[in-house]
Amino acid sequence: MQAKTIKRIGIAVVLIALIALPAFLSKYLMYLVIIGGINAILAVSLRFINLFGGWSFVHIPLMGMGGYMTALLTTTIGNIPFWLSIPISSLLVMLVALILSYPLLQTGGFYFFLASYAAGEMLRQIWIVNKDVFGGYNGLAGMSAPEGFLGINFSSYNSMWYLVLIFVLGTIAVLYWLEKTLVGVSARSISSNEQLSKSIGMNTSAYKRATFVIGSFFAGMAGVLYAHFLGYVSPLDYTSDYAYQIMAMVIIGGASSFAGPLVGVVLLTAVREMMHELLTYVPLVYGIFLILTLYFLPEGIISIPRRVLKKMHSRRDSKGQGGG
Amino acid sequence: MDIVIYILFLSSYYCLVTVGIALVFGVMKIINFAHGEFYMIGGVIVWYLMSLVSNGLQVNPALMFILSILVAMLVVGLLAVIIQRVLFEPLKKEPFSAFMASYGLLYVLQVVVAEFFGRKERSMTATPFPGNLTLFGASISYQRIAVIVVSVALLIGFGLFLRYSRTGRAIRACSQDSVAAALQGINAKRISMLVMALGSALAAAAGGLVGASLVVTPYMGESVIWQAFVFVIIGGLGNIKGVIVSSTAFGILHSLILAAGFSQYQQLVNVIAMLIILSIKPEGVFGNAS
Repeated sequence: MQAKTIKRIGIAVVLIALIALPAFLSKYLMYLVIIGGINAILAVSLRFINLFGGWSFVHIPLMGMGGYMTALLTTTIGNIPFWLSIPISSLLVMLVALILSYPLLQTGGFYFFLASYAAGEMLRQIWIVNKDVFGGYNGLAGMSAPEGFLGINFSSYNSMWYLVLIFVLGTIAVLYWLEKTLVGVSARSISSNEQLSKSIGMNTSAYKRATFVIGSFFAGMAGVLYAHFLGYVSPLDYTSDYAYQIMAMVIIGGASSFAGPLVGVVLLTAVREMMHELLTYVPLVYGIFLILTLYFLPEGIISIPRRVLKKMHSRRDSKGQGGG
Repeated sequence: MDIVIYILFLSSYYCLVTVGIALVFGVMKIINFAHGEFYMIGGVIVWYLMSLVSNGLQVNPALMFILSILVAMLVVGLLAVIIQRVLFEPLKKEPFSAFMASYGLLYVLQVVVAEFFGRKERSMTATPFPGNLTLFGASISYQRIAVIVVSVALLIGFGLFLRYSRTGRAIRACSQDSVAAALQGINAKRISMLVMALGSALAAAAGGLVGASLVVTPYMGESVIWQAFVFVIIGGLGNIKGVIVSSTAFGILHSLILAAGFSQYQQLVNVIAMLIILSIKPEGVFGNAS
């Protein structure tokens, strides 16, 4: 059987399993799965931005921005339905990302990381300091589950999961397609050698900006889902701790491939669940996994099959030479 | 007068923390995100040693305080060297991996210390330098004066060491041009270890000094590290003089903000300053574009 067919069957199996989940899992576990889905959107989009070589530490605050936008649009300022809010809020976040991209993309590497952290902190401080609009440390509450239609009710975890799953699949489809087409390939070229890319006439800033802005759109979208799922937004939820966890998921899973972040999300969410009695140790375990990965498997867990195959092939070759 | 003292206090404390970062990056070209945890561990060690005095150890508190700062510096220096050998040396070809590993290390250290120390904040129960001095109508605690004196002494001592001693020159050589330094016969590995130990020891001293004045928690490293990196980026990563200027400037700025009653905007001011500087001169005010 061809590798491609195996891959397709594998994906189909995973999809069926995901759809069947509510039948097997308790409400508590479904909660984790939903959060896992939201984290999947965050991880895949963060990695998309990282294609041009930058770790956006404003990703989680932008997610928070999405949450705040929907909070304002659906409760305080207006009363628009969820289905209108999600595109509008995500687009607003994209606009904020566009504005931020002008100072941020002047920097690269570690400076970009720190600058994006600063930008993110600025957003959080704006929420904290402007108590009247954003609710300060208490945040904003009162968001309800998405309005049902065609008789579907979204207040149960199970239906919420299907909603999140659809958004996750949509995110994967869009970003995968984008990566396979021009944007992704150019971003990779910029990441490996920016000078060279420029010299062949590539408009590097435009591509960098595009990846950053598009990835941030999905962060905003994840934020809207999160806010409506939890029912509130608070600046304490969108901190560097959360950003660290998502980044760990991407790196441990594997930043060099598209599926890597997904593997990372599943693994680290499972680890977190296994440690539910000892939640304060979670950052420690993530930290150890991170260090081990960087030390032994810099390309992440997703590179294990490839490495094993490589070893098998090289052994076969050397055997052939010895025997012949 | 209150303000002048506070400015001195804040600036010297900021400098102690940031000089270590600039030193490590200047020589090793890596960014140790766990630097803040060294600061925290320093504070915890001093707290533990001082609690012995509160629990009846018959030693002059002031003496114990100075001793415990030295112990903290030694212990953290040693820990830093171990971490450098185990974690950073193998990853030195991949600066990004080293950085991410240090981020993981941050949480490892934090959780481990929280296990033993407890998650709640604690203040020092024995007062090393009790009482206040009245100068020009303001009441200044002797504790604060002690912190300023010790910090400045450490910084000056360190500066003299860098400038006039042979090892200090070797360090500066490595920081300017590691290849040329190696050609001169300078052992880069040894210098890296030394630099790591020194920088982290300074951070530990800061932790001990400030922890004495405020409170000690396992999470105090995290709040310090982000701010410290803002100062370092603005001053110029790897440039010790630039970082001192930047830290002092922020010491003054923060004191003024606090005095004016706008302390809730402190963070916002930091990040806006950083964003502006990074947009105009990403290498920092005194940095060199590499």
